[in-house]
Amino acid sequence: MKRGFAALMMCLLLTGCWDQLRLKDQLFVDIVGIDYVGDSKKLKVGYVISSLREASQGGGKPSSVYIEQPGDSLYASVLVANSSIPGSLTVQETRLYLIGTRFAKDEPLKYLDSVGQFVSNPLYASLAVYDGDLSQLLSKKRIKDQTTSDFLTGILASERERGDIPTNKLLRYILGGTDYISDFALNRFVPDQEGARLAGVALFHDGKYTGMNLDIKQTLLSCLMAGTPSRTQAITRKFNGEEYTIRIRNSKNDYHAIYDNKGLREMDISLRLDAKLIESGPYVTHTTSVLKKIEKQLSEKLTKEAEKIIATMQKANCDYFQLGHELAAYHPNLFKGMNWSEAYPKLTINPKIKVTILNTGVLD
Amino acid sequence: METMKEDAITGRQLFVLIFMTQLGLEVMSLPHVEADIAGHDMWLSVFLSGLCAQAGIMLIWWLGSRYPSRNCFAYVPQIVGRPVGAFVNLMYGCYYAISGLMLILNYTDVLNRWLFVYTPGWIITLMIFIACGYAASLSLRRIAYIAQSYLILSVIAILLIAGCWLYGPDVKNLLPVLSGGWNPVVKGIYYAFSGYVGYDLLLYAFPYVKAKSKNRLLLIMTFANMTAILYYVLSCLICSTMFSLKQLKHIPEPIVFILKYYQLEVLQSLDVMFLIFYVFIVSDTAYIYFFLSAKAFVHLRSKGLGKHQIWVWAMVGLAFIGSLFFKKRSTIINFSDLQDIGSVFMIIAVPAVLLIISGLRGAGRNRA
Repeated sequence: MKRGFAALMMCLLLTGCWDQLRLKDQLFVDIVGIDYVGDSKKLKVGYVISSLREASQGGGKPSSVYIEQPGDSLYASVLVANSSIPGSLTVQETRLYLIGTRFAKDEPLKYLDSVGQFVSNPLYASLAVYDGDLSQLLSKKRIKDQTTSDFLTGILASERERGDIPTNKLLRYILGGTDYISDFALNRFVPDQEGARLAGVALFHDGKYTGMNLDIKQTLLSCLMAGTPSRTQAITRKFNGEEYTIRIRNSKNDYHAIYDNKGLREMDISLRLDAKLIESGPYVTHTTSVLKKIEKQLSEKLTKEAEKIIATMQKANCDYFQLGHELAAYHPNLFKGMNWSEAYPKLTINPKIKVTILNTGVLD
Repeated sequence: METMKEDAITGRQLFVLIFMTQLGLEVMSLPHVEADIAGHDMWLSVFLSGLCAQAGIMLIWWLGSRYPSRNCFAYVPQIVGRPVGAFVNLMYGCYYAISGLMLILNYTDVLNRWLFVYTPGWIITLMIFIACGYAASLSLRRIAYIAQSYLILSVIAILLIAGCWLYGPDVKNLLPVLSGGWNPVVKGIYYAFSGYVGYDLLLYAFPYVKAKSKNRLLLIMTFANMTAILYYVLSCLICSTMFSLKQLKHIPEPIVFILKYYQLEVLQSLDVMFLIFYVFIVSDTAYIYFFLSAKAFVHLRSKGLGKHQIWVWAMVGLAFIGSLFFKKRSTIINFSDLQDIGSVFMIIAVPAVLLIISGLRGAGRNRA
């Protein structure tokens, strides 16, 4: 009797309907684009809403709607946007937050913090910069025969899968995620004839976009130097008039601080790449000495490039490798007396990249 | 007196009961609370706090082994006399009822903020109270059966949490160890202690365990406590390597956030699933509190006062009415802080005093 009563009560109460969501009322926002309106400090927030048309006939046609609303904060804009279209915006499926450069140069993370308040928000969405007119890009219906959101998020997802670009998950940055050293690099899209393409990363210092970038080749190398695991990323370089391509099978990065009693003297970044040689100009038998020569030349070439990358980062004062945090963690006494953001641009940083060729693929 | 009879439980059941009672909402909130106090050395605080709990276990075990055939609520009047003993039992009864109430309130609060935004809080509380009340009115052995069947959920929970390590932890967040000296760590021990509360079930369960010897019983308790330590330390380590300190200070339930990292093709929002099945882990602790509360009240009189079931439903009813008065989150938090002080008093100070008095009396008797 008692058991039956308890079961009955549970059944009656479990069917509560306060928090039910009707699927047909949901507007699934796929991309949120944020920039400033003109020269003002008012936010212009755009939402790419995906839907399946004619889904009742099976399959369905993916289509997207773009709406844009200004607001003083992200939340204010969401509220206005919500009343401008029937249904309610939901960020349950949001995969990308795209920010404009002018907004990125101000304090983007401050505004983005409120994203953490969206209850249903899976925060695995990525954060990226678009160096162009956001409204123009996002209002496009299709790019290369895919919906705009599938195109943009697809590029990011597949490149990330290959380990060519930084992960840039939103959750890493918002709510003070970068409080130790707020220097990072975000993937950067630029306009292209048809839509947009990935053009490397934008460098941030102190949470603000510095206006300096790395190109796509430099991005891969800096990812490896920052410790991205090897996923057979391909590196192609030209020297001696020939193209050389390797695929990374294994990579190991290491940071090393060199100091004396006067303080920090320099920091070394070493990167060991174990690779498979794919192409090396006209076909020659890969004797040990030939391979050694290629290893040496490739190592030198990449080390030079790494020096250039570091020079750019220091010029932008962007400590993307988090060397400051490294120093604070392993040499706290050394770090304590330093003003890192002043010391970093002047610091001697020596990269050393060593390529080892494990094999030459299926051909000898 | 029939209401005071109890079925025996096995050592394995004791282990599960103690471990499941120790696990509570603190898994979710401890990294947030400790971030403000012990900073990135929180794992150390949590570990040391577990050792303090171990000392508390020894204390209760010692006390229990002086009266191996009776539970604590039955031998308290013998140690301190009948009127004071009744008062102590009354205190225990109220303390456990309040503990159960606070736990359920805190969990409802989490659900209301994360999941059921529109559902009135009292509906959720009522449902949990009904389930807990029903479970608490069972015997110790049946409660142990329930705990045993929920055990798998706590294993799934820790696997889900540990799986987040795939998404790139930053070990640098833990270094340098003890950057602020020992002070914050020691202070953090107190705040982490609330996570280990629950081992005090031994106060009641001691005489009903079928263990080979009392040393073996202590071993089982230690093993349960160590498992709880491992659980908490692991979840703290994961949170502090996955989040910056500032994020931990901002986010009251870092574990829920951490589960948002998962991006699976077939399943969306693992955090939602986690929050829902966490009800089993929370209610497991809550009904044991109500069970203990009722037992304490039954022992107000040496030959028993009322029926266990009636006391359970009375306390559950009162607690539910009490829960209606908590509207603001800050009130719940402040009251929880008071309850934490109460915990230290009730499960460390009171048993210690009882042990001392009982020791003195024993010594006196020996001399006489």
